[in-house]
Amino acid sequence: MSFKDGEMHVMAAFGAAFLSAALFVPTVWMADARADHTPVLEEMEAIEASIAVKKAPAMQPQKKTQAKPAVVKPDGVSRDETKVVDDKSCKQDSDCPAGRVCVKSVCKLPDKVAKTETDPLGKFRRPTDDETPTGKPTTEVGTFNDNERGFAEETKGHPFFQKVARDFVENFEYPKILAGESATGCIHLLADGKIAKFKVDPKSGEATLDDAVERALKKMQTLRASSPEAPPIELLKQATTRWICFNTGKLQRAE
Amino acid sequence: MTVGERGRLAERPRRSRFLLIVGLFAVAGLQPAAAEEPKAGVVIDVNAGKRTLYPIAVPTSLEGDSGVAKEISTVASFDLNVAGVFKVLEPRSFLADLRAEGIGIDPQKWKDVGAFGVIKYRATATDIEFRLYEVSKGANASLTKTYSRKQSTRQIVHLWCNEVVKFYTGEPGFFGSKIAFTVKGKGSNAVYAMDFDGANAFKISNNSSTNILPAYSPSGGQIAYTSFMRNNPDLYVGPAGGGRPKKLSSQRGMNTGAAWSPDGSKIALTLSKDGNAEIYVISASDGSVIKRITNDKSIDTSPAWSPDGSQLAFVSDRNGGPQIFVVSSAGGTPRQISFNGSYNTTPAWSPRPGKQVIAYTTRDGGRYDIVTLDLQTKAMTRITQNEGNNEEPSFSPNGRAIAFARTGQGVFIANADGTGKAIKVWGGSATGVDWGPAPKD
Repeated sequence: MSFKDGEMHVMAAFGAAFLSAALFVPTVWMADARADHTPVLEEMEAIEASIAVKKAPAMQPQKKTQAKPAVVKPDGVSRDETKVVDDKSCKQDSDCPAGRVCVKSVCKLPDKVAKTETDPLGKFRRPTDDETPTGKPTTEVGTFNDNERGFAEETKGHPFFQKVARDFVENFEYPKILAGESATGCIHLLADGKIAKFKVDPKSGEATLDDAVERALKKMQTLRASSPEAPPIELLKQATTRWICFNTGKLQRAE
Repeated sequence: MTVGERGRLAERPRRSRFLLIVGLFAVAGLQPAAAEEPKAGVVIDVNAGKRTLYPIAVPTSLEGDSGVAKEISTVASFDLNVAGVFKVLEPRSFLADLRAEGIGIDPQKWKDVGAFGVIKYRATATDIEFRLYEVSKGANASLTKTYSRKQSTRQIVHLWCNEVVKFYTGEPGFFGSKIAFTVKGKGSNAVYAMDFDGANAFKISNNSSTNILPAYSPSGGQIAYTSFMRNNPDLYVGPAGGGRPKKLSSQRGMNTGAAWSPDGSKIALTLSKDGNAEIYVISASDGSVIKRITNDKSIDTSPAWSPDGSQLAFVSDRNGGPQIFVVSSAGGTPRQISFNGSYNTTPAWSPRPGKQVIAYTTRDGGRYDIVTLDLQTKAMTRITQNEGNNEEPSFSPNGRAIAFARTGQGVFIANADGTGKAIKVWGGSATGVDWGPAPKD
């Protein structure tokens, strides 16, 4: 049996249509059957499928906890950070460590040498760039400018007053649901560091706030009675002849 | 005795008087600076201090029936402890003579133990009188209230504690409100309700099928929950006190996770009637679909209304793992708001006015915990940590506390600001916690 060209094309078309139908009909029928079966809640399962992107693991928020107490290091031979290295004795410059020269059998820094030695031609010399002061010392907050305590808020004032103020802050407790205008609590220190008397002046007018300030002052008095800390000698007059007062500032009601 | 001796004797008192005066001057000269009045002071601005919970004392009254007195102080102490603003002081530290004080106070005695407030009461056969003292304001009571004993003692104490919270915060308290939850049983789950402190638990659903995800209506009069009692997870609404429920939504597939709109007229829920879980809003009166909120091939569930009803939070896995999204309650494009970890579910919106805070369950290191997220500041606060698996948070009516289920342990409540430890109010296998509205005055 032989086919002409046209008949061959017709047969091929019929064949292709038949094969397509044979594949299409079961597919549609199966899809419909699947759609009829709606899953109930108990059969459903949530599958987690994250997008495959490598990220650094994000830290989850942590519950508020109290700060750990400061670690107190034991005293040891390496604790004395203020110790100054002794000047080494020498006979010549080569006996001294790098950067030092031998002056009168003692190793010293070169600039110290220059200052201590008399220069017979000094009055004829013009000042060099090294000796001319350049720029002005900054007084920006927190910037070191040769003041031993700097200008930062944290280091403002004498450390003794900072410590006393910190004592007040630690003992002053005020409920967060209450607001209040500022109140000022004052203490009168004795030379041995104990508190002779205290007062709330000026008062805020809010009885609870004034009372909270008074409680803090009373606690300070009790604590200092058992473990007094005397003011340093240079502050003795200033600290013991004047009221030392703490102003709470305006207290907002915290949510 | 000679004349000379007499003269010396007569001289002695004069001399000793002179020495005494000289001595006094000398002592006065040696007195330390303490005796001097200090000059004007050095003022240090501290601008700080610990902002604490309000220390309050609730001593047990020694008057009248000791059993009732004990119950009053126990219930009041619990209420104020979980209010989120008070610290109830330990009774063993009290210095006051309670019998001598009666219903009054000696302010200094309470000041000495650190109390800022003191609650006193007197229970008689017919009524209970309560007084609130602010220690700094002296011996006069700042708040006084007398309740007739027509209600139970517990209810009366809840009412009084709500007054105390309102006195200090200006907000209504949540004492006396209810919490609904699902109790897991063998082969069936039942919906229960109880007082917020775990007392008076009772069964809401009355069938042997699976009943899940209860939600109080804003009025507190009705509870919606999903039940399989007709084999399909349909939504039912029944009286909050228990009773025959009405089928509200029985679309093909899921009808779950109901959340009432703040005005009570609509319910947002998950429907899978078209084959995929999507968020819809239906009428709370007849269950008819009002609006389809989401339309995505991912799974969208657990809707929660914002307090003003303008937004809905929900869970979707459209960006991978389940995360919290927020969308306008009128529909629109949702935006993802949770980005911590890979699993965040069951959002609940804080009812606090002026705040946009959402609590949800997060997975951290294989454990599930409750966190809150402030949508305005993006600040996250952890409510639970290292205490089992905690899920499904629900805010108290004033937003100061959060109730949640701890797997296998029960229902707990914790401060919504993350402070303190959670307190167990119901022990058992619970899930699907929902805190009802504030009690009516």
